[in-house]
Amino acid sequence: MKLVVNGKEEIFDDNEISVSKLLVLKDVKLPQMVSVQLNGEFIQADEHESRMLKDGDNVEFLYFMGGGR
Amino acid sequence: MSITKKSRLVHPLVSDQFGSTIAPLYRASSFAHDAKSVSDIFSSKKAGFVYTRIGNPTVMMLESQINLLEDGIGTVAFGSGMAAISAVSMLLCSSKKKILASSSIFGGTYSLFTKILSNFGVETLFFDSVDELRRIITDEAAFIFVETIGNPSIKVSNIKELASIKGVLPLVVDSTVTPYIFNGKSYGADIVVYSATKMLSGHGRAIGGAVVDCGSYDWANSRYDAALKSYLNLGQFSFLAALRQLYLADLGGCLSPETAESILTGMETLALRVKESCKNAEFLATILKERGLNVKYPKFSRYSQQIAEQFSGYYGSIFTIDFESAERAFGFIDNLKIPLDMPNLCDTRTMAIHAASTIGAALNDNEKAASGITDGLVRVSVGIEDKYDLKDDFLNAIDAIGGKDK
Repeated sequence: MKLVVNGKEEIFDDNEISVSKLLVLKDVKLPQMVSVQLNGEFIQADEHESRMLKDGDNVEFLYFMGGGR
Repeated sequence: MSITKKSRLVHPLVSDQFGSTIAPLYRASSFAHDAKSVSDIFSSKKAGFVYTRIGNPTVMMLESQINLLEDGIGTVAFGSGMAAISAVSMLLCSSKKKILASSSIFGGTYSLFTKILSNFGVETLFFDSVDELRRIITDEAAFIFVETIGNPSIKVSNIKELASIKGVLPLVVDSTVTPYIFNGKSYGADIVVYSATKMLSGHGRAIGGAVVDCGSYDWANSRYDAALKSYLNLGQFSFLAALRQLYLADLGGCLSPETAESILTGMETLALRVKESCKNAEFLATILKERGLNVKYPKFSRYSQQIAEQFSGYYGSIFTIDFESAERAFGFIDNLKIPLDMPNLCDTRTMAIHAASTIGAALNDNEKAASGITDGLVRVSVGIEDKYDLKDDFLNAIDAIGGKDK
């Protein structure tokens, strides 16, 4: 499956990837502090497990605890 | 298996390569990474730390533990409770210039609203009851501000009722007094502010504050665009991101990692201290009231049942005694052998202070009256000493000034 993660195109072997699984695959250390946008739409934390990704999806991860402006 | 908050406070989630069982103390002011990582951290695309004024691993462990208490979506720590309240107020008043605040708030917060923010065009309207708030509430306000227990008025805010009429306004609750036994989120608070100096730390050796976003307020409603517009791409974390990256970072009221570590140590015994202090306060206030003293304590309120429900069966650890004159109040305090005369609250030690000449000294006569501060008012914050020692000491001090009503 091909996904665009934070603006970078990436190929994944698995075709069954949820938002939660992508957070694990991308080694996100603090998943509870990540804001996820899927094709421009915010995905709430309680939907991370159930929301499945499709080929070509554009995913943005942003961290509220980021270092500053 | 999920564990209770009481257990988690003793067993925090520590991530450490050497297996440390307590939060490692990261004293570094800056953190180095490769250039791309630093760039990604700055643009919020990667988790990490670059500069301790904005974020620090030890401070983040404290933020996680405080967040646990409220079950919030995130927490930002500050160098003091007042730094936390200042940052929240300035953020929320960036577009709307009106605060609706309970009339019985702490003198420092009153001063912030009326003597500092007023210079930036912010007007504060005070209310004394839910009915009064109903009369003055307006969509043009920035937020509603209340304390769980007014200091030193000892008035308890009915958070559920306030939340039911808040409309489009976020409800900001200062929960200095009872962080373990009161869950602001479940009563409808949107933002909970703590002075970590008080019950969280509890040992009188740390000054700190924190802001918890309960996750209930939709920040994407454009009411706060002046502050949040650049952070709306963080979705539910917009408020927290602006609070950290703008108002913590640039006002500079950050918490030191050393202090965060000290507060974390105190928090391990939070559950025990809160309950012991509250039980001691109830015991002492009841005895003094039975002796005919003019004691204000939430248990003696006509809303005591509802207060006990809000505070998990407790009534807080603070009460006041009105001795009718400053002279008798001073005499009482100076005859106490155990309590210390100092301006702190919710410590392991019992403290007594004359309100009018100290914590309320900056208020004029009308403001003192509105805050329930009379000439003879003594505020007592009860600690975890032996309750019979406290009883004997208080009764001896009262006898020394000639009894309850000379």
